[in-house]
Amino acid sequence: MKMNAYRTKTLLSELMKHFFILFILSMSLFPFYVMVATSGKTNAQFVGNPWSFMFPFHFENYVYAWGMVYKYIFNTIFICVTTIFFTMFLTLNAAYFFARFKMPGSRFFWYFFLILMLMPGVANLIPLFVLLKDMNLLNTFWALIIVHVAGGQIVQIYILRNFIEDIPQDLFDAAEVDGASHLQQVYNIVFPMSGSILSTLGILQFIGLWNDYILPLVVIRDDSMLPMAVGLVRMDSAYVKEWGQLMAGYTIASIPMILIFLFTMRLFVKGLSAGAIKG
Amino acid sequence: MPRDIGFKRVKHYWKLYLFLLPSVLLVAVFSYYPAISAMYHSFFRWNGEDINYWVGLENFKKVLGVITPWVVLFILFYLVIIYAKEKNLLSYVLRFVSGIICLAVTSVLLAYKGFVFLTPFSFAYLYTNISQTVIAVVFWGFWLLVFQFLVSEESENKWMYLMTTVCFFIASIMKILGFAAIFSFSAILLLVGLALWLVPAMNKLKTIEIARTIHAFTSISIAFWALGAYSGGDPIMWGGFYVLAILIVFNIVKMFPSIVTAVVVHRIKSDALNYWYRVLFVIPMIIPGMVYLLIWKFFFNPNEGIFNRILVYTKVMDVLVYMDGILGWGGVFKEGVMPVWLGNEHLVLPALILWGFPWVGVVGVLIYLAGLQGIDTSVYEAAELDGASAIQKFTHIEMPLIMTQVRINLVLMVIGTLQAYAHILILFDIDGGPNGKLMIPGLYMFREAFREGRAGYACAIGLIIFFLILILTELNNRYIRVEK
Repeated sequence: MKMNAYRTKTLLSELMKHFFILFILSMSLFPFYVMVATSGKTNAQFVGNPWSFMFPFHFENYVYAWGMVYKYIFNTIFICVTTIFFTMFLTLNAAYFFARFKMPGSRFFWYFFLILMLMPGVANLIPLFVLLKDMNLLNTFWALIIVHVAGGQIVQIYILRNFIEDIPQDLFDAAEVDGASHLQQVYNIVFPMSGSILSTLGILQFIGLWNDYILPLVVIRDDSMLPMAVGLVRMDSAYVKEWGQLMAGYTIASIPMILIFLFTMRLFVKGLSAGAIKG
Repeated sequence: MPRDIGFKRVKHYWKLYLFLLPSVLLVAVFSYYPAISAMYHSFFRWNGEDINYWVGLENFKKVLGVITPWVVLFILFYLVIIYAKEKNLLSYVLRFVSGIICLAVTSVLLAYKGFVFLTPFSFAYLYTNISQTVIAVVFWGFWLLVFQFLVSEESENKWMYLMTTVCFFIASIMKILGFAAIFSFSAILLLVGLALWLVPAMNKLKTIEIARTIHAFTSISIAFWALGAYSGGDPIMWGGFYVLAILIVFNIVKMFPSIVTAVVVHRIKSDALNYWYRVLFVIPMIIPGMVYLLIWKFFFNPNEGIFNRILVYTKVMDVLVYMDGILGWGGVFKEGVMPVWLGNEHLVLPALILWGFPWVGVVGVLIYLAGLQGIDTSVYEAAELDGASAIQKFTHIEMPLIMTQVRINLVLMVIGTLQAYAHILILFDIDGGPNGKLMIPGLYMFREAFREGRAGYACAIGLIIFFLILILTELNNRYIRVEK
């Protein structure tokens, strides 16, 4: 009898927990629900019922929104892929240098990078803008790519160095006996062995780039060259008449990230938690 | 282990430097050069292009007003940061100077310049400030409760938290009675300081040194605040810092939902569901932040937006209208009129605080969960045998374990709040909302540089924010990280 009461009590408390989490989850997912629900409505439908999905679901909103958004998406994907590629290349080499060798000057260069992690970049924006102008890089993708590669590699070098130090020394020794050059060691040993951490870092950088706003705002002028974030804000201030089209645009803008997430879910949850422990 | 290569063997290994060269070059050109250039140009009248001439300290004078006290305070603050932890005479002197003398000078100067009463006392004034009174009582009452829960009964620090809360409460009441806010704070803190340093019985308390250190830091902050308000600097800049202070206070409150959520997810017994909840909590992160921001902007739309509709639907709007009638909020909420959340001077700050309800930060939850995973199940079993309640488990088992993460998140949050301005630029445009209500320093810098053409002045503003964050980072490194 007593055991039964205890069991009911634990069951009840378990249920309360689930209820609480579901409540919080539904609240935090509510904006996205509204986004998807509204994306298929005309304004008249929306004013009548903003809460639920409605039929007919106007897919033409998506067609229209795609016409507005597609160039931003391709721009951003180009910027992201190029930036992540170059960052990874530089990070691997530099982290290899720090992890495997203690050269004269190693310490100096290590702190040269580390200090940047502590240094806030607020004041940098204006001289950076002028610098890019002097280099004739304004209104090009390369301005964004080069700045993000320079800024993004620092944290990654820091994390990857620890990772490479954990790779067994025997592997490198064996490679060296076989006459592998340093570059070959980086690409045949370090690169395959640090795949998971590299992809986590890449995804995190991707998220950051997808939301990057201030730099492209000041650097890029042509509407056809804007990346996602700035493009969406432009769209928001330009087309306020039809909420459905706007929300369809937002939905489309979210899809690439959702796709990436679906393919890397396990890695992502694990990598984030692991990164959290180290950081 | 890294292989050691001395100077003699460098000529065989020089190629390794090539691995580092591109990274170093990029960082030097795109991170170091702009930072140095910003420092350099803060002494110039510069519009980013052709106009560029030396003006000395003029930019800083415009931001700070009188420069000397700022520099003195800054040096004092830095010295306190460095030496406060040690147990030598210098440490005592520094903390005494900042805790007592600094505040005494501030209070006397404020009194001398006539910044004691801002409004003469009257019951009419008191009545219009009832809402402030209510907020102050609720807010400090909330903190008292929180500390009751967070600080375990046997903790030596308990009296300190209590005293701090009570002091701030008294200062809030003084402000409502018509005293200038800064004067109330500096006077109350001065009294506390005198008690801490001069009452002999205090020396017997174990935590007295920590209390004195915290008091010294708080005092210097108050002195900085007084300087910002009354030293004749740029009022827009210091108004911005006031907004930031409010935002930071509320952001601290907003940290609790993440902690509670993480703890509840952690306590769920089923492993499979635990995993799936975690996956679901990642979803808000993969939706681009920009999209989230714009959806919330749409929520706050006065007529079509969902937010007002929810308020009407749940009858909260009626309550707000009623409260407006009693508390005299100046007709912000009126019967039949939809409040313009992002366009009304009095509502922009509440809108920004409400923004992102229920304030569960994805990264935060995952970080706390990672910290909680270190708890062994046997600890829970032992606690249950002892008959610990859910809240006791939280305060005694879970909270101490994630305290490190909470502290780090707190510092990151403060630094982030000081630095970020993109969201305000998007929601309220470059002028910082109606009447420039939300013109925070970062945004001000942006506007000065890219619209007003005062790049030199903007560099000076950026540099001041930069130093502030640098100090916070230093505080973090010395006082928060180490105690892991």
